[in-house]
Amino acid sequence: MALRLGISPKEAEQLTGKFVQTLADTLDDESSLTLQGFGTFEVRKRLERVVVNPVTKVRQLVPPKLAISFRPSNLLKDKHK
Amino acid sequence: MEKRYTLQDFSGFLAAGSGQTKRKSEAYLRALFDIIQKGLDEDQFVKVRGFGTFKVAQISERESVSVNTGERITLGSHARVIFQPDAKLKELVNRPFAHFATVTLEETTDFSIFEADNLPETAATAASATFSPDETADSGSVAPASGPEAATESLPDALSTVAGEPSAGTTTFVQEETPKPQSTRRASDHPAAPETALPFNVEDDFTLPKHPEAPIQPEPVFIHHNPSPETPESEDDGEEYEPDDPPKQSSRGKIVLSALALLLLSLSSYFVGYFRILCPDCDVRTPVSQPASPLRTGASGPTAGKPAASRPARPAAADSLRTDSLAARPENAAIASQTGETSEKMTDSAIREASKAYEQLPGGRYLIVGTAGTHTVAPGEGIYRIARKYYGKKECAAYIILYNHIENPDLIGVGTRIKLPRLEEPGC
Repeated sequence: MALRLGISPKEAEQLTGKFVQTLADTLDDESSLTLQGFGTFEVRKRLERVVVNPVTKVRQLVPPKLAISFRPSNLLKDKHK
Repeated sequence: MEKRYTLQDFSGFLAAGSGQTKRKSEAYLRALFDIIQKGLDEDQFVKVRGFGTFKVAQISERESVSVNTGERITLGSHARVIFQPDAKLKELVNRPFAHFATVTLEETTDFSIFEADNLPETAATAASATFSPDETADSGSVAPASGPEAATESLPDALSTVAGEPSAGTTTFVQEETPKPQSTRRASDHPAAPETALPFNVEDDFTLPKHPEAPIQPEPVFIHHNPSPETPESEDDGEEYEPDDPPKQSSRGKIVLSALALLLLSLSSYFVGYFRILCPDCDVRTPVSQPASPLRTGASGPTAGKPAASRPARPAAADSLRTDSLAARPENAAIASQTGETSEKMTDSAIREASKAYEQLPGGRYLIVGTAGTHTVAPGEGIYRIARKYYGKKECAAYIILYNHIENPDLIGVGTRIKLPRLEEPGC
């Protein structure tokens, strides 16, 4: 962890890994994780698209994929206005 | 469906996954996000290894057009909290689509026609690109904007190594991008597929594959079925729909067959008794009505369930007691009782009268109506031998035992005089 850790650093690192894993697992089914006062993590599907490299003019096909997205809660947004 | 998890849920998951107590994991999660928040406040930047980076990004002023009025407005600069997932997390989340890769499109691709032959991509997947031309031709002609997208339909085939399914998924993917009327038209063109064997059937509203509901989903199935049957993928898809049905039917057929066989067996045994075919050395008399010792169904045999059960047992004693030595008896008795009605009643009443005087064998087919003789046991003679000698059946020994009140049939002393009961009923 690049930042300060709270309780027992070693465990925290493991837990992070587990947390990330859990996140990936549970958010598979198009569900979301909402943390009060913080925000929600969602999984969104990104569709296929054709991209063009402007320099080389090469067209490429980017396949569809799933990506995590985070939507900050209003509280957070206000804090950082 | 859509599920909204809370911190509590997640701490539960975490606890389950990591073996920590729920409390601990909850505390951890709270702490984690507290730290993130604090870090965000102070440094505007928090990086959590393995997870991702939270940033506060400043977005500068820009000009835009107001939505309602259409006038030019300036959107002021503001800040946004951004989360960029770590590569690891991205990978994990993208597992369902993991096998895809970016592919370079070549210039020579003719998007409008989009037949299999035209595809310049890997030769191996040339076969898989046999999409039904109507699909893409439609898109090509109707909406040129969607042309390239539709054209890329086949390319996912080229991309995918898994037979058929993912490409089908991406097909629907792209199809969704095309204007709605088109996609709905396609949906209506194809009747619904029997199964959602494909993991990537997609709804209209871009939800994830696992919850297919919209009619669009059948299309990928059909796409594979329609064109050349040589393509291995389409055959695979086709085969997927078959296997379920035959096993069910065959197992059901087996059950029916076995039931039939059982029925046949019981019927045949009935008739065997009726015609006394198997009874050796017997007086062949016409079947006498069987007034006595009807059977309870406690006896073994397929005929147990037969009408014999309906007859009240005359002897009160349990019939099952003697069933071991009289395996054939119960069904014969049942048969006899059944045939009793229809056959000639020769000495029916006489037999009944006579038999009342003697103790009868419960569950026995025959009635003891008197003494037919005596026999002195010689050395080396067993009760069954005697029975067979006099009655032709060792099963008749039970009658002898009963009549003579022999306690231990295996230990009849030499020289014992035993009375031979006269058994009424042909066969003994």
